[in-house]
Amino acid sequence: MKKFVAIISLVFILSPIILTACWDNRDIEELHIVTGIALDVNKTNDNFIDVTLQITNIQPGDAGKSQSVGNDDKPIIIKKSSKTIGDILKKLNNESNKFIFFHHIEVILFSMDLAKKGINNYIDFFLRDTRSRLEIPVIIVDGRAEDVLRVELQEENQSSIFLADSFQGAKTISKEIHVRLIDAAFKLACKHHCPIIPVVKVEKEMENDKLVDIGFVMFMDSKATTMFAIDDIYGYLFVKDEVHFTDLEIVASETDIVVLKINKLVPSPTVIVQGDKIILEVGINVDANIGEVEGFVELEPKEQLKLFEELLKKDVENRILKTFAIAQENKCDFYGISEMINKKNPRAWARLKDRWKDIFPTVEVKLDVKTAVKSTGQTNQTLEMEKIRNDDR
Amino acid sequence: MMIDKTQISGKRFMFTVAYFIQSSILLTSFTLSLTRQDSWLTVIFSFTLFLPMIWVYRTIMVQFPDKNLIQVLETVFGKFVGKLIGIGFTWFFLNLTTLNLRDLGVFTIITVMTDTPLIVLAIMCMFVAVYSVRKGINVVCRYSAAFTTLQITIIIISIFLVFDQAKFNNFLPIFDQPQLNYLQGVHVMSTIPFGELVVLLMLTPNIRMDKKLVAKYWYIGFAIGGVSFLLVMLREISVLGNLAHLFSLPSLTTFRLIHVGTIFNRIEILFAMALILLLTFKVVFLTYVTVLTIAQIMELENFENLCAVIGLLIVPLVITIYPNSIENQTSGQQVVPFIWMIFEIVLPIFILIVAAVKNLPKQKPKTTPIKQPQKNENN
Repeated sequence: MKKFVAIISLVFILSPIILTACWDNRDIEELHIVTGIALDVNKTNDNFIDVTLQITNIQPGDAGKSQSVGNDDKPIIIKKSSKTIGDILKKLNNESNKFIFFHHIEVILFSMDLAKKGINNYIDFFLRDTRSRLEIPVIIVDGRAEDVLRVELQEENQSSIFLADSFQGAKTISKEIHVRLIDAAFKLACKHHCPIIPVVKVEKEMENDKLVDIGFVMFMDSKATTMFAIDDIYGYLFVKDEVHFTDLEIVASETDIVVLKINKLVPSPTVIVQGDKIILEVGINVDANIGEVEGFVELEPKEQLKLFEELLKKDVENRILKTFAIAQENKCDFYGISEMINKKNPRAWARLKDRWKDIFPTVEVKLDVKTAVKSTGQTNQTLEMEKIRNDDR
Repeated sequence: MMIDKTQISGKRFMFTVAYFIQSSILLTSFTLSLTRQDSWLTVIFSFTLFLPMIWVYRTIMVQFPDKNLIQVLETVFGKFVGKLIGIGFTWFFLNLTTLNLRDLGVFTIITVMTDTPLIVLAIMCMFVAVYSVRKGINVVCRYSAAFTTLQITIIIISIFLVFDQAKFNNFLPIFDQPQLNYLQGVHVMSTIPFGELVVLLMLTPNIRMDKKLVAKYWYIGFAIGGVSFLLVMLREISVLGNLAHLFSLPSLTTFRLIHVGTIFNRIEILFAMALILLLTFKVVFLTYVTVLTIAQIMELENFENLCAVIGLLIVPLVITIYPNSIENQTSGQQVVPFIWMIFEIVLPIFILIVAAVKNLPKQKPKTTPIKQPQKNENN
């Protein structure tokens, strides 16, 4: 009996602790699930920032739908201004009828104006905040970042999810395209390494809005400086990391054009330090297939392959040299050569680091590109070539 | 006098050694902030340097097979001095329990229960600990093999899942930190995860194993724990690179980066739950050792009634021991290793020296097993 009373007493004593485990629970209808956040410079006060949130519109009963929640409804957009993100989120929470839920954020957008002022403090906020994800993409917007969240797309109701998906997809080409929050932080933390971050823009096409990748912007001392076109990014990717499944259009002459599908491009960069002379040596192996051919009718298939390999080699070299020249012109080491020297030869780096901005434009590039066009696809030659050969018979 | 009559097998003891080190993997930030990308070397150095201490622990166990650490102290230094040093060890064990319970609470708050007060989590965990400790060492260590396997599985799976994000360049340059940092890093590693193994000397009379196998179980257990720690450190550095030292919980950050297709992402909660489970086991074990130590010093025949009292003592300590995580980390790097060193390295060596001078133990231990297996024992 005594034992029974003791157990019952213990249950009563402990029940307030155990049963209150759900005291702070929140149903999905009580949440504002943020999917995208945009940061802009305030139009009237330069010291203030505007924070715009894109929120999934959850209607009562959505949970039982077979489609993903909020798919049919336009997202909710809310905006506030203050000096810090923390203060803005607090104000938004106070003014909102629902709790702002930050855990499912898909993308972080900065306007170009804000990026030019520096984004380190804001990156630090997201890095510190236990609710934010470190693998989400960081994107710069040419124009107002909030416009990207307000845009109405045909493909997806929520532009933040569209952007996150498209950058996730771009990872299949190269990991370097998808700049995650942690990558941005990683590169911004290096003193001499200038990160590059993708830039998107809202464009009107017919009656619909469209989000377009327009290029990459270079960061120096944590501030955005110069932008380069999206087509020039290949010259960076071909040196930095493996590239898969991308098409290169090579124009040999007005009538002769070939599109080569790169299956795999593997670079192996090394930096050679000879006193103050720095040489970047990059060995590159490229495997490609023929995707499309226009012209080249006078060549036999075998000769074509040889020519295409030569054209591909030249194209890869030209792209690298062009993008490297952009980096050198802007004294912006986004290739991370400073990091490579520091990691492989810390003593040399200690000698060079104070003069790096002057040394980087003198870095020499040596390329050793080996190309192999391995497949012609389902056909061996074009219909045009076949027609000529049939006429000759 | 043997307070806890229950016993564990040698193999279970081996897994307890391994598990005990594994459960400290949340503390990689202590070393990472000192030796950064070279922290994996720090683990190897400290592991190698600590091997002689494992021999010291093993020798104490073999020389005094029927005595726990407090009884050994009383035998070697005499009743009064032995008890005095024993009180010092009680303080050490109490602090270890408190710190680990705090780590568990803070980790739970960051990962799962963000709005739950630390005190609620501390009470709940202590409730489990007190309940288990009352059942004796057999219950406390019953799942050590399962937990060790779980921990190894987590480490291996997580390495596979983040492998595409690992960059071998992140380990470079090697030996680029100030020399003093390596010394401090090795010191921190040796005293905080490895040196804490001294608590296992409280189990000596409760372990049933052949004298010849004591060294084997110690070294294998230590190797499993050390390799696990090394793998975690390699994973953290290769994935987080120059930011690894910036995070207070690098393991959690690494788990958060897992993103394989659309299925394997945002699964850090699964790893976090497993880590919470593992840390709970360590807290339970440390609570057992603390209770046993106090019972031994007070010469109690029964320690069951003491469990709840010790539990009640630890909970307020958890709340007050450090005001924030920065204080915790600073103390973990600059103060704690020096104090811990006294209990983990200096005193055990001193025990062996004094025992040798006094020619102790007087009666040579039996050459037969430390404890003969009991037939009807529930293992």
